[in-house]
Amino acid sequence: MAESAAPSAAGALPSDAELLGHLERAVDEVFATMIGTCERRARVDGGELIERSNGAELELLLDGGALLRVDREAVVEFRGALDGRVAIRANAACATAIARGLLMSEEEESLALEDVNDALKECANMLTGWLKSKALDPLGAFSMSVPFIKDAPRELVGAPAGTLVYSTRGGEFAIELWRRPPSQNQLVESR
Amino acid sequence: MNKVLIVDDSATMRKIITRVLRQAEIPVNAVVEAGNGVEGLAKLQSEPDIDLILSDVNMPEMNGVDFVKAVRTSHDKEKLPMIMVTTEGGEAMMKSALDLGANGYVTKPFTPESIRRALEAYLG
Repeated sequence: MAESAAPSAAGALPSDAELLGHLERAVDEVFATMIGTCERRARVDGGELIERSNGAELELLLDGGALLRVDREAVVEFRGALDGRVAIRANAACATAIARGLLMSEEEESLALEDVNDALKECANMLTGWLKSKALDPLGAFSMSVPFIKDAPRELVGAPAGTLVYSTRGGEFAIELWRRPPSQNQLVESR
Repeated sequence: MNKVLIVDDSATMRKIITRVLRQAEIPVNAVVEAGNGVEGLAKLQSEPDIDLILSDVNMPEMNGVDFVKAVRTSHDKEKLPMIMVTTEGGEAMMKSALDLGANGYVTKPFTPESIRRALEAYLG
């Protein structure tokens, strides 16, 4: 499991490890500025994350046996010289904590499901925007999708290029970077 | 009295901006919301006393660039202050918005202070 990698040559596509490094800095910036502190618990380079379905939730088995339960993900896709996506995966309690931070909401204020999911989407949007600005735009024109929520357990073919796991007061969440393999025209997903 | 129009397809982001305006102690007395540029133009028609627009760039229906263009070609809104709000990655569209007459921009993530700096020249 590599923590970092040497920067790629100028003009070359960044490595997965480099992109994940940019994503880490994005998380630091976005959370410190608008949401609140979060602590990085793990960085998983490559597809070492194992998923298993547990009813409405998915369990992510992390290196070392730690377990992370998620029931939704906010996704933003990017397209350009390389295609991929950023996904924030969390359960209800953690997503609510993130939403409270972003909305500056007090504990006694109730948040609708739409508010919580919308906040998670905004978070994914800001993280992907940061990644695009710092790592992708120097390579040429890139576009970002409108953020969207997937709340059903998924079955993905392939594996993320990297995963970051953080903890907040609401629990743990994962941020995944998916990158289209050069041999494929699009991310392969069975819905 | 300052009335601000917030145009963003995310209701949550509109809520966040409203709360940040309050937290930054920016003298805003009323906030009007719209979910895209088309709705924003309708609000400008129905509420002609709006003093400033804060607009997202990447929106469905009518994006922020086309919204700026439409506002600036309106005969009585050509001087209405427009501040664009966008993610770091939206800089190309933001530049287009500035070229078409937007007055400034704020990038997400933003702080109350960065919002205040962007707006202070326009709100008394």
